[in-house]
Amino acid sequence: MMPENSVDNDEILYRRILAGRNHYKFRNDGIIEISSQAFYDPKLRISVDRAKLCNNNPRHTLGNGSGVVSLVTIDVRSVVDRERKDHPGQVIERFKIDVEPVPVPNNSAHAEIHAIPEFTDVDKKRAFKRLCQRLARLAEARKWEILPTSE
Amino acid sequence: MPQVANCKSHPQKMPEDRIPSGTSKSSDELSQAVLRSIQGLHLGTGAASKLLYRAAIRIGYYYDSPGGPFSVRNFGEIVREDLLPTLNEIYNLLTWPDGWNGYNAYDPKYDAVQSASQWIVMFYLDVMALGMDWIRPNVTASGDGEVVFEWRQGIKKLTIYIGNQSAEYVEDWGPDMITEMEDGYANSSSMRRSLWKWLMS
Repeated sequence: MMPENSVDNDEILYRRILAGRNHYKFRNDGIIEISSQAFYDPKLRISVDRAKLCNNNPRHTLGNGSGVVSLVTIDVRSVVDRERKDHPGQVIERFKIDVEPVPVPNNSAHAEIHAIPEFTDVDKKRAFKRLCQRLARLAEARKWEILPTSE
Repeated sequence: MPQVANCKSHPQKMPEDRIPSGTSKSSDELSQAVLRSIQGLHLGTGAASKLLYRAAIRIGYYYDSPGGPFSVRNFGEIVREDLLPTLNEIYNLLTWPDGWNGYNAYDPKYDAVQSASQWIVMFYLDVMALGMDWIRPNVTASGDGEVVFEWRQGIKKLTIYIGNQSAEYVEDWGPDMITEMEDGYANSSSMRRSLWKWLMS
């Protein structure tokens, strides 16, 4: 299937979670806690796969991973992230979070969650870390697409 | 010689939990009285002795007792016993390669691991000084090679990032990223204590 130029609001996005990295934890009440680090990317753009471009099959994303979680695009776009401030504390940028298709040679379903304007290294300390926290909560609120093995 | 067997026979009331830790004159007097009792003991290596060591840590006795019954080695052993699983997890991060998360993560950095292993001991001692219980953290890494500690208590999440220079925190207690998250540095003892009190409140 050919990638499209934009990601629709109702599209499901898959993200792989590896075992052995303490990115999830089974609780006694059955909930699986997800670490914000499951979404951390040093390039400040978070890789996901568009479900509709991989036949809604999360095994496409699984790879060597242990489990697959999902997000809904509109939930990601609804995230209101912290602003960037200058030294005196004045707001100089407000971030909007978006999802855009970024097909790669072996994966036409590949997309990236990113900020507009783009996060830079100065945003790693605050805005990007907050975004990772929020995405973990969003993923936790949904059922796992592929349940992980217990660590 | 004082009896210490009661420590074992009343597991619901650990002596360390009953050590007064307030700031008033009466609390101070009580602390001193407890301290004198502890000093009179011939401590061994059993469970009761360990409880007393922890009690002493909580009232700050470890800072000024080089010649007392509590040697630095004793305290070190207690701290290590409580923190050993966490310290093992921290050092294990050095075995993670680039791309360890299945995406673009950098390998955890040696300097960050060293800093994190020192920071977690300081945090543990701060928690003991507050007279509060310790909860073992989730230990992982950020994609930038930092060491990450995470604690959850109900809806509250406390995340600590440790690089080679400093510790940063994110407090998260709800879905709103503006009004229900806080962040900053966690390098000072007062800030660490404040974070733990927030988490446990």
